Amino acid sequence: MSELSIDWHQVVSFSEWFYLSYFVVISFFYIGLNLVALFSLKAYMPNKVLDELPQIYSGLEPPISILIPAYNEQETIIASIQSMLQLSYPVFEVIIVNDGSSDHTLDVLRTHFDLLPFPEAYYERLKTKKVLDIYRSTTHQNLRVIDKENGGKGDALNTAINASRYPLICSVDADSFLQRNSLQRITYPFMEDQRVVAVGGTVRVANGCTVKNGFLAEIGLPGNFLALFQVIEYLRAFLFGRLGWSVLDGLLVISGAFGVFRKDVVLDVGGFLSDTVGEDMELVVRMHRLLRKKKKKYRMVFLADPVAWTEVPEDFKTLKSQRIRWQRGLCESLFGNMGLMFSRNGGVAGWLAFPFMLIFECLGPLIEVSGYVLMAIFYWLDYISWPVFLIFIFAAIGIGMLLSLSSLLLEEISFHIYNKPKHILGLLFAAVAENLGFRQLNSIWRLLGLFRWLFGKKHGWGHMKRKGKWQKQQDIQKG
Amino acid sequence: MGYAALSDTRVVIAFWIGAISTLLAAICLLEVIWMRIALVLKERHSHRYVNTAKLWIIQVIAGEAVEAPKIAKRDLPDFLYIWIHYQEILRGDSKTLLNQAIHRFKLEPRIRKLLVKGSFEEQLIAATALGHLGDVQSWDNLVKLLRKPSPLLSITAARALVTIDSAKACNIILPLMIEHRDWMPARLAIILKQADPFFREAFLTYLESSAQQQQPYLLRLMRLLDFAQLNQPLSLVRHYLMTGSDPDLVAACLRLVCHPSELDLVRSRFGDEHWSVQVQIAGVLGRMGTSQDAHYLLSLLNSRFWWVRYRAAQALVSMPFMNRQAIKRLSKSRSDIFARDMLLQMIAEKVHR
Repeated sequence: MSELSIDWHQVVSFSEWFYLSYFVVISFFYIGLNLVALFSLKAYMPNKVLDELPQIYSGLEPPISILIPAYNEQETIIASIQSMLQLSYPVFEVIIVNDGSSDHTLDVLRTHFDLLPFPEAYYERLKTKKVLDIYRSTTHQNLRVIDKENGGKGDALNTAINASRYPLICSVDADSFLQRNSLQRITYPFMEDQRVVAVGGTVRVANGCTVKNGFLAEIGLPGNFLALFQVIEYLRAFLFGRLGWSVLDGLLVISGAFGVFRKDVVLDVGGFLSDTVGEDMELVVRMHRLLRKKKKKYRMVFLADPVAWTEVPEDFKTLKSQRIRWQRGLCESLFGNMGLMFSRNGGVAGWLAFPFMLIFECLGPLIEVSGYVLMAIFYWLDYISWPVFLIFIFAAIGIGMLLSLSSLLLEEISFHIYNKPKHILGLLFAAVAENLGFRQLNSIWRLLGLFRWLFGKKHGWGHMKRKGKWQKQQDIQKG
Repeated sequence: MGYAALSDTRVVIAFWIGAISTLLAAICLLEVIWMRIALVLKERHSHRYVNTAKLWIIQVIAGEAVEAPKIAKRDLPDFLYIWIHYQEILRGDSKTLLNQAIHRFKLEPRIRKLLVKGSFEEQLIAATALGHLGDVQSWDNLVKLLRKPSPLLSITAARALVTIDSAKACNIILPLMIEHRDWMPARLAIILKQADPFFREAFLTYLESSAQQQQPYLLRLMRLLDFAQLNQPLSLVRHYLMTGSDPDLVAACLRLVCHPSELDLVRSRFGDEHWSVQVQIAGVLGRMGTSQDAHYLLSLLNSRFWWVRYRAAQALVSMPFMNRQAIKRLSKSRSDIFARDMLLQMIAEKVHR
């Protein structure tokens, strides 16, 4: 009995050290990224002072093909496309791919934009599911719609790439809309530096905002708590996560909701994978792996000011499904490109960002959830005292709050998009409250995603239940 | 078993991690609140001020008699910002009226001071404003800004100098346009677009004379020639069309072909198999080709590159002897399915237009 108790003591002691070390290392990384992002934003912001002045086009802006894969998006697609068509940019085209929707997506598009079948010389550079028809809008010359058999988001994006005409491609989710000047901003890096192959923009939460004529009329916060917590999550993910890694030249994620890529490079690496749920991240990681393998000089950049707004889930079921899908996508992206990790020319991406993503983002939920569970079990079995249990929980929550509040601070230093005092109070509340349950729940969902990836359960388009509130508000205003 | 004591190292570390992060989180929270209060107060003041300043500027543009604007030191950048805004969107007499108002109320010395002693943002605003004002007295200080490490600040100063006196700016700015590889081509293009013809001519001459030395960077600069509004053949273009082997450079030269006398040189590149060169050749032939080029364009219709086929089809369709029936006949005669599809697309595009 005494031998057993000595073993348990060691187990408890080892666990406490293990989880503590994990928290120290992850906090060290996150705080480091936060500081990098802070300095980068501080250096970047003064350069924006003249950006709000009326802009003159230089004529050197590279033309862009905006690619919008759509699957059962009848609720929000019209508002999204309207906003795309009004973007302030000299030359661009919009290509929507209806990926075998079972709702009326194609019908609403056909009616709203006066689509007619068009004999397009479609060239299948990337292999995709069968294209059924290509339409061109008679009201907007730069709008085309491709109807195809269902093949997933990656397959739809590849179809759009095949049909695209311009050297830059911009993937945008069908439930998102871009800020009017966002294309102009996101192409700067391509014009400044020939080595740039991809640029990611910020994605923000559209729930609670009001859209008028396809554009953001009023910024607001969602009334729903789940959506409110996601506002903070998105700030954390974009403002310090991606910005920090971008500065360090280790950006592994460019959101499919708003990313611009050089088409020739995407074609060279084989386009998007159609059998993954995280096609956006997978493409970026594969680009890193293959470009580094070929010893090409390249850069992938994240910019905080070009913004796309997207609707986030407001119910547990949809959110759970989304997070499971994201985690699966992360696992697929990393394990499908293990060659990047510690590769000879891996650089920051292969030697720092990849291992970080693998340990803290991919396997992190396993460690986090097991930590909470073990601590609770130890307490229940009376192996740790109540104060010690509380201290460990206190450390975990303290770090969580620090990270959330520091991302809010970054937002306040830079863009302060949420401009009403009640917004800031709401965000401060969310930054604290999301650590008391939401984050832990999220870790559980991500752990489920990890298991589903391990046990090979396939996940489809991962369709989200759309409320399309901002589109409805627009309709009301129109009416 | 015994509990881990509160004094155990791991517990102490966990406690301090929790305590320090909570303290830092609290500091962040207070900082956010404090920054927001400061921002609200600043914006409230700024909003009131901006409205007054806008009204004043509109009265100036309307030619009404106005009193000297009340501009506190902290409001000067806001005032100038609005003033620049109107300068950028207005043309003709209104711009002159805006400049006269600044001159009449003796605001230049304050702007000059901002240029020298202001923050980075204030220097950007002041340089832009002084450029619009054509302020010769700021010349030396603007030249000093050209040496600043920030490419944005130096190119803003360059734009101001070209606006103030393009002839005098040539000697300083032209070598810098070639040397400063951190100057964004888009901003250089805007300088060229807005500069007077004299400056553009000087840029062309400078580029032609220094082309050999600048060859590695020539491509970047040749893109800018699009804005030089060429109407005469360039010896630079002729030279690289005859001898160039870099496909990107040859393609850039083909973009600059503007005179029928250069057509033979273009035809001399018919053997070039690089797709970017072929696209540009098709573009040139679409603009000024003759019936003798149709055969070459037809051969491009079989290219494996979509853009080559597209431009070749576009060029063919734009030729004067090509009506809809002729294109249809041509399409039927093609054995290659991609060539046929492309011609059909061209017919549809013609109908759509």
